[in-house]
Amino acid sequence: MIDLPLPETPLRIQRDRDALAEAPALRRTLIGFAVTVLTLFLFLPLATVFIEAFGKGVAGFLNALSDAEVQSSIKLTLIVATICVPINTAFGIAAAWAVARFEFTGKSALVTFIDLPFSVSPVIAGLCCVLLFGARGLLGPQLASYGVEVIFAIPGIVLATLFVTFPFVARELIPLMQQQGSDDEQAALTLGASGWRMFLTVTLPNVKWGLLYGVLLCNARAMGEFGAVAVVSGRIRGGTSTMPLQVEALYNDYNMVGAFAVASLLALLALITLIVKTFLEWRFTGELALRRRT
Amino acid sequence: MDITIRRLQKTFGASPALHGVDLDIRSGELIGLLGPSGSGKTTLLRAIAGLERPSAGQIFFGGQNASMFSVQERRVGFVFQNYALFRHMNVAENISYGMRVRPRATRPSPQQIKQRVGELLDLVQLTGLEVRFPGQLSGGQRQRVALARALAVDPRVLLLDEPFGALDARVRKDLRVWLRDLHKRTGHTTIFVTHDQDEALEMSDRVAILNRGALEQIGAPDEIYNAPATPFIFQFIGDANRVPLNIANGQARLGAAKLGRVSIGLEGAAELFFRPEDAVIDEAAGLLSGEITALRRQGAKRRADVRLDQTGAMIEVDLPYGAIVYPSQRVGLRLERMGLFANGRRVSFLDEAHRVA
Repeated sequence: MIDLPLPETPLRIQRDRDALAEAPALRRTLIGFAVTVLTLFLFLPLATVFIEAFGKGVAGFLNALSDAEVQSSIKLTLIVATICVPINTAFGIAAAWAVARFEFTGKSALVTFIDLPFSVSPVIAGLCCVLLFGARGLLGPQLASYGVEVIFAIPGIVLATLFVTFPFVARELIPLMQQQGSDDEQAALTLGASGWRMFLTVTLPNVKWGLLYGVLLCNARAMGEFGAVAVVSGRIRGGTSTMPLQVEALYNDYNMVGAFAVASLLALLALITLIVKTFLEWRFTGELALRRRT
Repeated sequence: MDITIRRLQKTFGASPALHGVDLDIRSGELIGLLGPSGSGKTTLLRAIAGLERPSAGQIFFGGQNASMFSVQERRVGFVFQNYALFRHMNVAENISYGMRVRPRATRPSPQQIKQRVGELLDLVQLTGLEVRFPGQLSGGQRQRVALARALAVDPRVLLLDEPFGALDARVRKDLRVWLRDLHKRTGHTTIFVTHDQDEALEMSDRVAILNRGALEQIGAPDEIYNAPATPFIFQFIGDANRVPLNIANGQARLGAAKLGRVSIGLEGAAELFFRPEDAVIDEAAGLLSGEITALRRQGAKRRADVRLDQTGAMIEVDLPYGAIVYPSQRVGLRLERMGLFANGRRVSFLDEAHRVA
């Protein structure tokens, strides 16, 4: 063995940190910047909502919520979400199944169409609804002759909301089901399970967390949608006004407590959704890993 | 259950995956489907299971046309390459799945199911792991759970897709012996797919070799190894030397050396195949000779690269233990066994003189 001479002084360690890490000063600046932006644009507004909502105390808050118009808007929002979420959940599962399990012509077109509501402004979606079902629309007069009202009524709000919340469940499930493949399902079939049985005992349990996540997002959007609903509903107070519309109406009336009380309910829903979502992500990272909207 | 496959074809889009496969499998046999990737072996296995619909041809399960049956009705035990265990069910639930999804009329009682799960766990030596989830098991254990789950439906035929593909070498060897033994005890007609020739030769009663969607040969492992039916098999199974040669006037010649007589009419280029262990260095041999160009050790064997004087072809020769040879040494060669192929078909010698000495 050859004795290599050691360097006189050991190589000086240049830096006390990871080769790929930023300089401490830069790091602190960036973090500080991010925190400032978040505080200004997220935490403060959110806090304001709750502070304003309780501006006249708990009694004022409860009083604002017990208003008949507000009650009606809450009810309407719940009805719309109750109709839209199950429909879009069923659609999302069916679409994800079709896209992940089968090869057919027009598959990429279908995937693009599922994404359409993300790229189209909700107001445009509402307008399309009016053009189709309005008094002078394509189908409106026909439907009106049967006594079916769509625009300025609940069906219109439901249609607009359905359109806007269309992609949430499907977008969540497609990558997940593609990644998981169909071996589990085929195994269930060879073991004698019927198609339906296989779906209930294998397919659904395999995607349940992704599905729940998609449903949560879908629900949050269904309750919070403003633009599309504003166009089709006619904003009839106590009639076709959903919670987001009611917030705006109350605000325009300078009824701050009322506006922020309703707004705080919506914000609370958003917070709960976020908390559940974070919990799901933390608990089921692997199963949720493969999704991210463009 | 006997399985008969007749002229089975499968086309994916424009590319054929299987063309015209005929195969007869006897009840209780352990058959290895061997072939390189893309040879159609998995497609054939999936067609038997009913997971793939053949484009043409028939599959019979003991005389009944299987295409009349859906996947569920075929009652096959299919073990997937990655096992496809249901990750949200524990071991006992996985194994009992096939019994639990039966229609109420034929479903065993919970006690019967529990007892059967116990028996199967005993069979695959996993007793005590009932409540573990697949994520908590090792690869070899998962494989055995998948096997128990497939056996639970009392399958007409057991189909295994690359059963040891995802396991490390050690576990693989143990499981081969174990599976062979399990087959002996349960007696299920079993077909397994593999691309590993050692696995196929060691485990199977008969090996079926597929190449480019066609069955090239089926036979006992010894038959396949000793008498390969095609040049492809000669090279695919074991090691083989390939030497091009010429046939003229019914005489196969390697350069100037006469190898032996073949039937008149086979004229032109042909190929001679022989295994490194069938070429013996023998100073007394007069017909073939060459020069050692390199020496190598391959595990238990020592090998010499030899350039044949007759055609200049490079061949590999196994050396007996303790043989004293050196590079650039000139040697005589004797061929114990060989295969002559013309136009991809095996050609037999008419005289005994082909034992080239």
